[in-house]
Amino acid sequence: MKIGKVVRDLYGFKWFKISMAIFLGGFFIGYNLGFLDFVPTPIPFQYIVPYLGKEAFPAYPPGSVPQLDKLDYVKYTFAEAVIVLGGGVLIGLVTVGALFVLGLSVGVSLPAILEYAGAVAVSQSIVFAIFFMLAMTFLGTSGLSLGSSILHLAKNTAFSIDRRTYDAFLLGLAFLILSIIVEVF
Amino acid sequence: MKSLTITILLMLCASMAFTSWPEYSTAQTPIVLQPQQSKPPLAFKQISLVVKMVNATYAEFTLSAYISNPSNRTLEYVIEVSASTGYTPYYLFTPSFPPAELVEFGVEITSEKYGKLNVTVDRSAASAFSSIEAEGYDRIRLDGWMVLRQSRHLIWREYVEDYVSFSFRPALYYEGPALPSEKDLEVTFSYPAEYTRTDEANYKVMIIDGYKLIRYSERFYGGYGLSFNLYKPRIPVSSLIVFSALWILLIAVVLTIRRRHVKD
Repeated sequence: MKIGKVVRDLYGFKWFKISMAIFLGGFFIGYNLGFLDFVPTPIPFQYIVPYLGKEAFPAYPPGSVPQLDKLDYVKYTFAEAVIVLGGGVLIGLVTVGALFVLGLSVGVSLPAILEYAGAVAVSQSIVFAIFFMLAMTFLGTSGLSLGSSILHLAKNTAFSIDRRTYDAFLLGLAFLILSIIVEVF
Repeated sequence: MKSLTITILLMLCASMAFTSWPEYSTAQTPIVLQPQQSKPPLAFKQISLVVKMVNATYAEFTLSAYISNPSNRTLEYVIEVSASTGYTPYYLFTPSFPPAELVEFGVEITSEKYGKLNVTVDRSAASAFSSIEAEGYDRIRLDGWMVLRQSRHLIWREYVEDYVSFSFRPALYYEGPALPSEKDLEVTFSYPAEYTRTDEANYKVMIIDGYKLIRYSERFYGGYGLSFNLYKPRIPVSSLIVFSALWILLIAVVLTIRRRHVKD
């Protein structure tokens, strides 16, 4: 498998662009809200990606950061990946929602990390955020493509999955493992 | 129409509407009100509170009160100081939160009649017992300090939201109304000039030696709570850079796409 060709193919894939746009849109909104101190407190966006939430802990009231260990980070990240990918079966609606909320969560956490965390934590968080974004975007690509195939099937056309859906899934899995490695070490 | 009327009647029957019908209703137990005490158990005069927030992490306070017992029997009472403890939020699907941190504070209570009182410190409160003879009085001075914690670090503001409260209450009146008399409390609150109290606009603020000083009167009902509620502005340099970069990128993308559309 030639990685360069796979990435080039995926870059031209409609669902990859949509997936990336949804995640980055959420990230943009989240970062702006976080930066402008408009973090909606009833919904714990900062805890949805707990690794970043933990790094941003100096910004939160004492005792308000959940007790987390590395296994929790892995569990949360894996669960989010499953939702993004598996949400495709509901014609991609869950995938779209999950991608947006995850982008929002990453965006909301970053300003506090940049302001209050140490240099090492900042660099680790940025590396994690990039891997996490790529993992979710690629998994979202396969989820949305799967949703599209299911919608086609519902319209009584033939059920077929684009080859690039598998490539996106494999790449997403690779980046998911990388982001989990960053979380654990 | 007939079925609608029957439906409404059935709904009324099923509802609580008929339970208030005299023959269906159960006998109501009369609520007996506690008779009001003719005299308040404690009376106050010359209540003053001086609080100085030295810096973001430390505050000192002094409360002095002239307290009297208008009744004809000796009254035992409790003086209590409590400081705010952190709160633990609850969200669905999040792991458990650690318990709130213990409050660090110290209090010394001096009675004019009995000297230094024995202070018992609990998790977030300090209390001392004392007594006043029938129709007697005492003068209480309460000196203390507490460690402040920056409760929230927002991107544009640093907040101090700690709280300290004082109360005098009869030792035996844990139940029922036992409100001591109401009196004016003269509060003097000073804090570093770089901080702003959230309700500062309501007071006349003086700046002395780098500290803001405000004076005001509050009602003292045998107890009083002072909320710090202060914030200090800050410039978020690191996140401002990323914020600017994101917006520059967005504008660049919009301009590029627009240029492409114009060419087409």
